[in-house]
Amino acid sequence: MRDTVGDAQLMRLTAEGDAAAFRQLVARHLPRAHAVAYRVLLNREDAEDAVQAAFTKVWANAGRYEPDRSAFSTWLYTIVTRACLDRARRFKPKTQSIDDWAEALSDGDPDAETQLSQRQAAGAVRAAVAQLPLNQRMAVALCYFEGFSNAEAAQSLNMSVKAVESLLVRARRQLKTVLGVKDD
Amino acid sequence: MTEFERTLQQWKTPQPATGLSDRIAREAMRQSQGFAWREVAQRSLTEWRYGLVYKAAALAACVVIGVGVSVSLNQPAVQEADLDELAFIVGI
Repeated sequence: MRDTVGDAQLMRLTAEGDAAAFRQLVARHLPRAHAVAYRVLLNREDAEDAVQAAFTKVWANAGRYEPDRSAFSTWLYTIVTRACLDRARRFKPKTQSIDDWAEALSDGDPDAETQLSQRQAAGAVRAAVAQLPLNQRMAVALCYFEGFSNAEAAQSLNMSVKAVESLLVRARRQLKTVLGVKDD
Repeated sequence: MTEFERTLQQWKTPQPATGLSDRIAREAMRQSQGFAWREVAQRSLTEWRYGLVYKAAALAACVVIGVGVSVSLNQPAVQEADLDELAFIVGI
């Protein structure tokens, strides 16, 4: 029944200590938050830790959320990106475990050549993104991979839209060079 | 979709581990919540329907107290004030 309840309502209930509402929020937003964290931190363990830290802050500060000022997702990704930044600064990023690769490829085409080709293409993109500075990587994760608008990303990253556009232009240029993609 | 976007989309991220959602929620809820009172107070001021029973009870209590105070103020004083004693107290 709560699937139809909006994020703002779930946050109100969460602020009043409603555990079921909070579980619903976590279940709803975890896949995307995890994907953002994974693309910024480049391994599953760090991504899970960052997402854990982010949702812990959501629970503890639920009363501070003001639905009139921003959408819940914008507020959430502000916390997620800060948790990623904090994690990346405090701990040296781990290398990607073999399990991450296996999981990423497990539901692919059974054909071995196709799998190999997919693996190489995915690996090339991952390596190219890994070369980006952290702030560019966060902008790329939000805008290019998760479909945020520049304005939404700017709000989540706590910077101006111009600054986000500048990050994206530089990131796009570098990614195209590294990946050998022609201008479109 | 441009070639650039198609190229980027080839990098798939792994799905969160099974049970991660429950684990995260459980771990997070070990923390105590702060400022919930503020949210509740703000909500009670901005939404008239919120806590309506309590608001109605508070209003009824105010009415009873108000009526009681006004009735008691309208009652004549039991004793006349002793002006000489009052003058002595204030030092006139």
